[in-house]
Amino acid sequence: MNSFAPVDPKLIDVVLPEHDGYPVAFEAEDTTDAVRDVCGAAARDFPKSLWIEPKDWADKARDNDKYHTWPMNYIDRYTNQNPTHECTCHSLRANAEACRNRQLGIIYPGGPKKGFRYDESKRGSVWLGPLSVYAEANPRQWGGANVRQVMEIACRRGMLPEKIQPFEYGFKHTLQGTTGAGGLNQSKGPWVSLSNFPSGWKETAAWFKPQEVIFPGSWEEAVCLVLHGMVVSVGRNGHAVPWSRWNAAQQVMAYPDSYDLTRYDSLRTVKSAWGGAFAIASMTVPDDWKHPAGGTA
Amino acid sequence: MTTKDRIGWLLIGLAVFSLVKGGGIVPAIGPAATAATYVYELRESAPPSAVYAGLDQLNREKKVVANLYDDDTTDGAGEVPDQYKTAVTAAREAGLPSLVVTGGGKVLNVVKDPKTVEAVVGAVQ
Repeated sequence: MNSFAPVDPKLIDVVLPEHDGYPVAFEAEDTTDAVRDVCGAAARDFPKSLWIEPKDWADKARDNDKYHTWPMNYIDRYTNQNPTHECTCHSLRANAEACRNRQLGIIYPGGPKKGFRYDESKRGSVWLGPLSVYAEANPRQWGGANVRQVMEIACRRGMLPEKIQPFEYGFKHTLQGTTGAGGLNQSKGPWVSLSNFPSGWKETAAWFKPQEVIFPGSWEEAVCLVLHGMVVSVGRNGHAVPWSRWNAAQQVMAYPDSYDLTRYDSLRTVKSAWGGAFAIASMTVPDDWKHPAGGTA
Repeated sequence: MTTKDRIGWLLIGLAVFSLVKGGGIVPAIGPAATAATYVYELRESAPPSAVYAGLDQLNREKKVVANLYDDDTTDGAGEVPDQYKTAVTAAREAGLPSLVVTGGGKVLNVVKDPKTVEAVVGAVQ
């Protein structure tokens, strides 16, 4: 993965024809303070230990290229939400999954690839379902959900694993990942209301909860988080995305978009979109990675 | 051949065997390493990229289960996960960050603040 390679301009600052779950009104509500508040005890200020002087960003980027330690290298799949309004939850799942994989100590050198499944994913990667959060955030199904809503839900009760997993973990409770297109590594299915989630589902969801969530106080701190291997989820231009690799040469931010491909935000967009952004620094950890939901859930 | 002679030849044989094998005569006693855990506190220090790469190498080579553990992280029941209790205690005693190698419930090695792939992988050997 060469983060310095030139990027196709057609993939930079792509604005979808209409919002896909993050209308402009939500952007105004998702201030850093508002999202922080709903995370409760999980909320963290940006630690000084993570600050990297901008003049040193290129060196850190080279380090990440050499060791494959971008957030993108902890994401082993794309998801596809088309044509739903689930974007904030797809961005959340990338953030949560990357965090778990970073804790697990498994690197995916090429990042997510459409129609491809890494053998290494069997070692403990768990695919978390966007719908398992979105169904509670927006019971009406259409219209989207803001970051505040989805983070409150995730921090309070966690996320459910999807029906498709890279390994047979024996989960007692799973849910289809999306009502959208899905794919090889993402289950799809009909809409399901919260009241129709599998009985006892909270026991399983509790094992997939953010425990520490960092809120950058500037766009530079957001870049530092990415340089340290943490996904930064942001909402902008009607869509929510998970920033996952910084191109120090062209100064664009790559993200695995919830449409089976990687796109980029320009520096101008990064500078305007970082407010309300968050990075999950730690997730609940199982007693045994082969039994991610505790062996009984 | 007297008993003394027999013992003498046996000792010579063992010495030759040991030289050929390149190791000690007495086999290692004690558990083998099964896990390597890098315990850290993110608010104080960020793990270097090389540490992640070293842990990934250990996992790929299937030598041990190699993970990172941010101090105070818990399992779904709100407890320190069983798999990390021994390592976390040892790391906190040694000072964070530390890489703790464990096996059979025992601490086999503690490396304070490793910074290279070699330091991580070498801790297990």
